[in-house]
Amino acid sequence: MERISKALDKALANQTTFNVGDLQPLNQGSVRAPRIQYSRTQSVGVSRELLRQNRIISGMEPGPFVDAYKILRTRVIQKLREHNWNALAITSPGVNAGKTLTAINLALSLALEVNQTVLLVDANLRNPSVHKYFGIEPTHGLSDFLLDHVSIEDMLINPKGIDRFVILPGKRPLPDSSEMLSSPRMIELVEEVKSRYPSRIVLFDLPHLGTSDALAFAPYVDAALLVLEEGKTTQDELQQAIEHLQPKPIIGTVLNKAEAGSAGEL
Amino acid sequence: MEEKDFQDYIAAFKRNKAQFTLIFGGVIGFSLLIALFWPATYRSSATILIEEQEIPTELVKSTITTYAAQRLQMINQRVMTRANLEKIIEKFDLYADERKKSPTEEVIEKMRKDLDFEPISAEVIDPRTGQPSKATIAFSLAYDGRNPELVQQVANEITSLYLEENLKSRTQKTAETSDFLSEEATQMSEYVAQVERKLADFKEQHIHNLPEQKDLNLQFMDRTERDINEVDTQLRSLEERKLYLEGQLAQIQPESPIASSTGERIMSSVDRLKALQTEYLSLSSKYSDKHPDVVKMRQEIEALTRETGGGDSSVDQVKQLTQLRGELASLSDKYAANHPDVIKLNKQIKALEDSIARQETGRKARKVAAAQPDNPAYITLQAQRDSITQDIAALGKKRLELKAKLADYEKRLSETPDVERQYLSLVRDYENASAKYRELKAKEMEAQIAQQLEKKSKGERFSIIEPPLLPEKPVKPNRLAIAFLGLVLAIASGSGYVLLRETLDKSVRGLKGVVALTGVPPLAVIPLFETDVEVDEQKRRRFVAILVGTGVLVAAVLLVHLLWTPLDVLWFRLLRKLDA
Repeated sequence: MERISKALDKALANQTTFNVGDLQPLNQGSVRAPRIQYSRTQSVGVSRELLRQNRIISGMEPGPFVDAYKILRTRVIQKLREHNWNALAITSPGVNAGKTLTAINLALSLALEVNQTVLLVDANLRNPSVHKYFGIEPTHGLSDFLLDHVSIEDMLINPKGIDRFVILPGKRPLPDSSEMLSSPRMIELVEEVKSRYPSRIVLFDLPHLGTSDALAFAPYVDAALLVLEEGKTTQDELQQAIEHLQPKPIIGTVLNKAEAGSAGEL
Repeated sequence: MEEKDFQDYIAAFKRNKAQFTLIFGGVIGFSLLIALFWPATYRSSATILIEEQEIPTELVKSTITTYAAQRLQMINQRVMTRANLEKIIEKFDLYADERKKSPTEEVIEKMRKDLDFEPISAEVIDPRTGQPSKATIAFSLAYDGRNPELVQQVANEITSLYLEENLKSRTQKTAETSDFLSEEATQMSEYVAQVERKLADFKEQHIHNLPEQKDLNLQFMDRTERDINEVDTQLRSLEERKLYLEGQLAQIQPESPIASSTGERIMSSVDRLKALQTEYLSLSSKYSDKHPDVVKMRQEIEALTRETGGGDSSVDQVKQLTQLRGELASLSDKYAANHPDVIKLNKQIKALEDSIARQETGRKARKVAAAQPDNPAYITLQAQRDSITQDIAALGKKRLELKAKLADYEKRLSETPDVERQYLSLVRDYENASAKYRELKAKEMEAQIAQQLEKKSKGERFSIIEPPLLPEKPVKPNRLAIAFLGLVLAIASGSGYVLLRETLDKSVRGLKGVVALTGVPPLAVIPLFETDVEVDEQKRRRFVAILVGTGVLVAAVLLVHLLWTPLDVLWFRLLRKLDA
C-alpha cells in the first residue's frame, strides 16, 4: 500500500512540473472550435438498438450509468488540461475488466463536449473489438496500417450521428502484437494522430497489463487510465499494474461494474 | 488492510445471498432428514443391588476381602469376554447385517459399546476408618438396540450372566481359600509329627542327660559320695582289726600243745630244744663233755635241731659238695675213673647229695605240718583274720564300683548343658510348629465356614431390584434437538461461508478499497449496467429453475407415494416420531 501511494505521489509530482502556460494553445484551439469536416473519413451508420445492447451510452437515455461516464469525462479532461496531455492509454490490471467499453464510452462522452474531437485507437492487437461494439465491419484496420502501409485516413471511421468521434479500428488480430505496438511505424502513427489536430484527444484501447503489449506501448502515450473491475481485480494485480506502469503517470482509476452502494461516501 | 464495517458485511451477505441460501437450505434439509430418519434406539436396563452378607461379619468373616467396586470390574471383564458376547449374539441373532459385512471383532466391539455398565455409588462412612467415602452399593446394566423386545431379552441375558458369574467366582474363591488352608494344615501336621519324632528320639538317646534329670543326677552323685565315705570308714576299721588279729595270731602256736598221758603238757620240739639248750649249758658247766648226761643231752639237742631245722647244715653241705666236685674234676684229669681216689670222691659226693636231699624233704614236711595248725584258738583267730581280709577285699571292690559310678554321674552332669541346648531348640521347634498348626487348623475351620456361607448364599450377593423392562419409548435420537442443532449449524455454516469468502476475497471493492490501495479515489465509479437482454435472460432462467424445481419435488413426492409409502401414512408416522 505504502509503495503504491508513493508511486502515485511521484507521478503527481511529475505532473506538476509541467508549465501551466502550456495549456494555452489547447485552450485557444478549443475556443476556436473548428467544425471538422470528415473529408476522407468514412461515415458508417450504426444501430441505436445495438449500441444500447452493447451498453454504449450513445444509445441510452440519461441515467446513473451515463452520468457516471460524464463524471469520468470531466475529471479526465481536467487532468489532461492540467498537464497538457492528449494521448491517454486505457488499460486494466486484469482481463475482462471492461477496458474497451470504458474507452468507447469515455471517448463518446468526451466527444459530447463541443470544443474537441476524439480519436479512439483500437490498439488491442491481440483481440481488436471496438468495431464489434458498433456493429461495424472495417475495410482496413491498424494491423493493415502496420503491415500493409495503408494510410491513416483510409482506416478512420466515424459512426454516423456521433460528431467529433473517430474510430481507428484494429480489424484482425496480430500474433506479434507486442513488437508491432513498439514498432517505428506505430510510433509514427502516435505522433501523427497526436499532433494533427490541436484540440484532439486520442484514446488508446490497450490489452490488459498482464501482457507485454501494454508495457511496450506505454512510453508513447502521455498517461494511462486503469480500469478496475469491482470484486474481480485483486489488490495484488492493482499493485503490480501500478509498478509496471512506472514511471508513466497514471491519470486515475475507474471502478467498473460497481455494485449499488460502492459509489457511496468514503 | 482497511477495516470492514457492518455495511461491508451486509454488502458481502447480499453478494453471496445465493450461496448462503444454498448452504443454509442444504444443511437444514439434511439435518431434518437425519432427525426424521435416524432409526430409534431402545434401551432396556436392570438395576442390581449389592447386598451385604446376612450374617454379621463379626460372627462369620468372608474370605473375600476385595472391594465391591473392584469385584464388579472383575466380573464385568469376565462377562464381557468374546466368547460370552459371541454366544449372546448368536442366540438372539443380533447385528445380522454387520456380521455379514464386518469381522467378528468389530461386531463384538459394537456389542460392547451398546452394553452399558454403570456402578451406582453412595456416600457412606467407612466403618474401618471413619472417613466418609464412596462405596458401590448397586449397579445398572443396559443394552441399546433397535428392537425393543430383543433389547429386553439381551438385557435379561446379560443380567443373569452377571449374577451367575458373581456366584461362581465367590464360591470358587472361597473353595480355593479353604482348600489351600487345609492343604497347608496337612503339611504342617506332617511337619509337627516329624519334629515330635525327632524330639522323642533325642530324649531316648540322651535319657540320662536331659535337663530334668539334672537334679536326680546331682542327688545320685551326692549319695554315691556319701557311700564312698562310708566304705572308706569301714575299710579303715577293718584294717585296724586285721592288724590286731594278726598280732594275736603271731602270739599263738599253730599247733596245740600235746598233752602226755599224764596230762602233762608235752612241749613242742622248739621249746624242748630251747629248754635242752639251756639245760645243756648248765650241765656242761657242771659236767665234762663225756658225761653221759651231757652226751645224751648233746645227742638229744642234735636230734631236735635236726628236727626243727635249726642248725641247718645244708648250706655247709652245699659248699662242701661244690668243693668236692672241684677236686673230682682235677683228679679225673690225672687219674682214671677206677682210681681209688676218684671212687672215694664219687662216694663222698654221693653221700653229700643224699644228705642234702634228705634235709630238703624234712623241711617240706615241717612246712606242711605248720600249715595245718591244729590249735583251735589259732584257727579261730586265723578264721577271723581271713574273714576280715575278705571283707576288706569286698569293700575295696565296692569302693571301686562307687568311684566308677561317681565318674559316670559327673560325666552326665558335665554333658547336660550341651544336651539341654539341643533339647531346648528341638522343643522350641516343636512348640512353634504346633502353634502354627493350631493356627492353621483354626483358619481352615473359618474358611470352611465361609465356604458354607457362600454355598448357602448367605454372603454378599447381587439381587435384582429392577429387572429389564420392555422399553416403550426410544431413548435416542432426540429429533427436536437434532433439528434445532441443524438449524444452528445451517446458520453457522452459511454465515461462515460468507465470512470466509469475504476474508479470503482479495479483490478491490468499493471506493474505500481503491483509496486504500492507491491513496486517491477513482475518477469515477461506473455501476454495473444490465441490459434488457440480460435482465430477460435472468428472468427466464429463474422461471425455468422454479419450474424444474417444482417438477422434481412433485415427482419425488409422487414416487414416494406410489413406490414407498402412501403420503398419509408417512404423515402420521412423522407425527408419531415427533411426538416421541
